[in-house]
This record gives sequence, C-alpha cells and structure tokens, in this order.
Amino acid sequence: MLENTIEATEIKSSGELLKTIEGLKSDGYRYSTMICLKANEGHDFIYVFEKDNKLKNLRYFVKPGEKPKSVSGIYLCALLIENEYQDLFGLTFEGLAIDYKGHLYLTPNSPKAPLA
Amino acid sequence: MTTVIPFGPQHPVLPEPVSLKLEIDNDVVVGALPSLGYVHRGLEKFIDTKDYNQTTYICERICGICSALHGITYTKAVEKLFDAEIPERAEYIRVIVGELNRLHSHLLWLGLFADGFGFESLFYECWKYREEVLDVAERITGNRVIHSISKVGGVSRDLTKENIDMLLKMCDSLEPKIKDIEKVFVNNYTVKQRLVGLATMSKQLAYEAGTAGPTLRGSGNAIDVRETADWDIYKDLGFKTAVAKEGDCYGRTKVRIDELYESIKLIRNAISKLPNGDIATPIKGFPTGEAIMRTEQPRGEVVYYVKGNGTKNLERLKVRTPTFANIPSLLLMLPGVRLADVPIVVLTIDPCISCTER
Amino acid sequence: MMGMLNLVLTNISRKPATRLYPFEIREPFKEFKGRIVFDPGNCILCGICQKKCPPDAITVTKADKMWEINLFRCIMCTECVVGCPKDCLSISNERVKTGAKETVKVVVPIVDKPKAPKAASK
Repeated sequence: MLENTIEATEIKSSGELLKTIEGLKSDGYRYSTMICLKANEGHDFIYVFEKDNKLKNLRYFVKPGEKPKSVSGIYLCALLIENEYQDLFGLTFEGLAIDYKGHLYLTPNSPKAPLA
Repeated sequence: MTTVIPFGPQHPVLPEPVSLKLEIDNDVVVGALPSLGYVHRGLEKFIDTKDYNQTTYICERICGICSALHGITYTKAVEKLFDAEIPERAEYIRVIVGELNRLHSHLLWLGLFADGFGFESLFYECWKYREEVLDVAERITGNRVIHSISKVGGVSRDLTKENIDMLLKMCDSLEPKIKDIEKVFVNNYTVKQRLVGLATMSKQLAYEAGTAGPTLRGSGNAIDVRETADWDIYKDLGFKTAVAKEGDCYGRTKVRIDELYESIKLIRNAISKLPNGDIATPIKGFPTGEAIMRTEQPRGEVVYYVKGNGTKNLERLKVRTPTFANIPSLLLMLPGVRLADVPIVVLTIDPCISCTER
Repeated sequence: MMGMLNLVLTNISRKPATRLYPFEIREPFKEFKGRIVFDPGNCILCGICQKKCPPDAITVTKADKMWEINLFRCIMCTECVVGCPKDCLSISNERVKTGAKETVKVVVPIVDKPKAPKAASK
C-alpha cells in the first residue's frame, strides 16, 4: 500500500495556531488556502502557506462542537474560505472579518450542511 | 452620506454572475462587499458518486475557460498518489495543450477588457484571433473548449505530424497579430488614460492579500507556479515569468500580453523538444494517501488537494481556484475607485465565478 | 492612436471573418469528436461502456439485449470507445443535429457466440 501524506506540522490548541500563523506572516509567508476534512467526528484543518514556491502546512484538529478561531484577522483573504466552510460543513468561526452567517453560497431555504 | 448600489449579478461586463454591493460617496466607492452563490454546484461533493478516472471529467467542467488545466492538475495530483512515472511525451503534450488553453483564455479576457473600456473593434479582433487557437485545439484534442486530453496516467490523444505543423503555423500567424493589438493595449493614449494608476496595489499589499496570477505579477511579484519543482519541464523550455511593476490595471494588462508571447514561445520550444515514446502508462489499483498539486492557470495558481482511502472513489477533493484568491483583493482595490471604473477593475482580476464556487 | 486606426482600416477592406452560417457550413475537422457510433455486430453486452461512462449516458440491458445512449447526457469523453473490448464503439466527426432524439436504442442481435461450439462438441 502506498502511503503518501503531505508534510504538516501538528498544532494542538487554537491559541498556538494563531501564534504560529502570526509568526508565519512576519516570516513572509503567503496564505494559500485551508482544507477541511471530516475526521473522528470532528474536522481536520490543513492550513497551506507558501513562500518562495515552497509550501508549509499546518494541521489542526477541531473537536466536535468546538468553534474554531478565524484567521481572517491576520490574513484578510482567509475570510472567503472560512465562510465557505461555514456553509458547507456547518462550522462557526469566531472573529470573522466579514461574516456571511452561513449564507455565502446558501439561501435561507437551501439544504443544510454538511454538503462537502 | 453614502449610498449602497448593487453591481451585478447581471452586468454587461460580467460573463458570469457575481454581485458586489458597492457603498459609494458621490461617485467614489468607499466599500465593497462581494456576494456569491449564484452558480454553486457542489462539485466537490459530487465526486463521491464517481470513480477517480471519471472525476477528471468533472474537474474539467469546473470551468469552461481553464478546463484543460483543471484536468491536467487533477490527473497530476492523482498520479502523485500512485507515485506514477508518466511518459515524457505525455508531459510535453500536456504543456502544449495547457499553453493553448492559456492563449485562448487571455485572448478572451483581452477582448472582454477592450469591450469594458469601449473598444468594440478591438474586442472583435481579439476574439477573431482566439478562434484560430480554438480551431487548432479542436483539431488536436477533438473538442473545442473542454479538451479532455489529460487522463490519469498520461494523455488520451497523441500529437500527429499534421498537428505539429498546424501548431507551428498558428504560432507564426498569431505572433504578428498579437503585436498589432499590443500596440493598442499598451501605447494607445485613450487606453492609458483609462488604465494607468487605476486601482493600484503595492507589491507588499498584493503579496499579503494572497492574490494569484496576473493580479499578483502585475504588482511586481515574480511568483509563478510554473517555476516550482512540480513543473520541472518548464525549466527545460526556457520559461520566464512575466512581471509588471505598475500594480494597476495597466500593469495587469501588460502581464497578460507578455504571457501570450511566453505561451507561444513555450509551445514552439515544446514542439522542438518533443520526445518520442508512449503517451500513457496503465495505472492499476485504488489511490491512498493525500497530495497537493499546484498549477498556473490563466487566472493564477490553482491548488488541488486529493485524498484517497483505498476505494475507487476519492475521499476528498478540494480545489482552491485563482479567482477565489483574487476576490478578497477586490475589497482592497475598489475603495477610492470611481463608480464608472468599477467594471474595469472587476475585470482585471479576470473573475471566473464558476471556478470560485464550484 | 495609429495602431487602432490601422486595425479598423484593414478590417474595412477585408472580407468578413465569419460565415453566413445556415447557408455556408464548414466541414467538421476529421479529428472532431462528433458523436458515438455503435456497431452492434460484435457486442457481447458486457456493460463495460456503461460502467466507464462518467455521466451515466449509456445503459446496457442484458435481458432485452438493448444498448442505449442518451445523447443529451453524453459529454464526448470517449471513455467507452477506449474501454470497449470488442471495438464496437467508434467516434464519427459528424455533428449531432440540434433537436435530435434524446436517446438512441440499438438491439444487439447475437450474444453468447463463443459458448455455442462448446455445447455442440459435447
């Protein structure tokens, strides 16, 4: 069996996550995207950053029921992807720069999350 | 006192529906709020019902204009899961079709942009040249826009001798024509008056806002995924990143015109170095693990994340498209722009909403 | 300024770049993927084309010996053409006319060909 995994630094707490990302920003990393996966009844986040054509990934596990902290205070461009995951996974991010409240894609009468 | 004016979802310059709520003071924009959701199709979920070979065709249908590069990126990502060695000829054919894709996408954009600032004749001119590229693409791949050339393990069609002659002929006839329209886009007094200094983003701001593609390179950041390790082949072809220092709408236009020349050069070099051999390797089994693949699309960098779980269906497919990265930059660019210039500023990020919402 | 003027002036004297479509139709390129042609002669109703088809356009019914394609669903990916073990499927460069029938049904004449001689020898 092949086992390809992407290299990712494991992050334990949300405080540590924000601190690491702030550190990355001052190091000159560019926010690329965030990937959300369903795992162990919670969600796995993979944050992807880029500098000099190299990627740096952070992995963070969101426990079921936990409200993850938004990164959009540090990188403004994170707001769109975080709003998308509010729609598609039914998550609630704390401290979003612009909060569409789960209506970025969905209208009040659309089907409910999870959709991805 | 400010007024809120809706821009879109139906607007002459927008080929696809996106809506912006513009907060304006007199006729100067002070705030903008994009709202999406008109063409969300849930394609990332839809792949649950298809196997990993069939998903290629779904990925190509994320967007009509950059379809070939979506397919190529997806297949390369899945090949990473299999650790597969792809025949060199297949890689070269992918590059050629990918560059054809970029040519026709940029010509389409230049046409729309010319229409945006009122140059109707130039608009028709650009689309006339685009037709030549599409004809060649149709004769190489069999389809006009959605080429479906890349498959997991290689490519589905080989380049014949006839195809190669046709490609070279197209390159020769297209280059002087692009020089003609370049004169208008770059030197014309009216166009310059309209574009220079409009919606300027500094180098630092464009970098931090996470923009991609010509929006990023138009601000002087020489960042192009074609230089990364995933795309060794471009190094052999003598690829050079096109950059403009201006950071305004004019700079972004210049980058796209330079990329047209770059694409023609890459097609010529790829043909001259085209190796012989197979065009595909058989791939058996089911994918496991996870991989990230990045490609430079006409609109910028696309990020594919695939995760397999040992069954024929992929567990997760995540696509971060270039426009998705560029829309937040609109929030930064639009304040300070006059209402009449908003269509041009929105066009310079080359919005592709079907990509954004998937 | 001269650049644009040159373009406009040459375009005035040039003949149109477009064709008068319904009266003048361009021959389809020979590489063009126009439609799927099914030759029922060799078909063994294995159903591989149905399994490979990404948009589920092909339906093979063994009981009725029927091969069916939904032209409105077909995306011309040619997975079925590549996958067919008996080479019954091919691509034609002829365009499907708009407003054509939604489905094409073909009855497959013979099945179980290889089994027949075995039964006779016993």
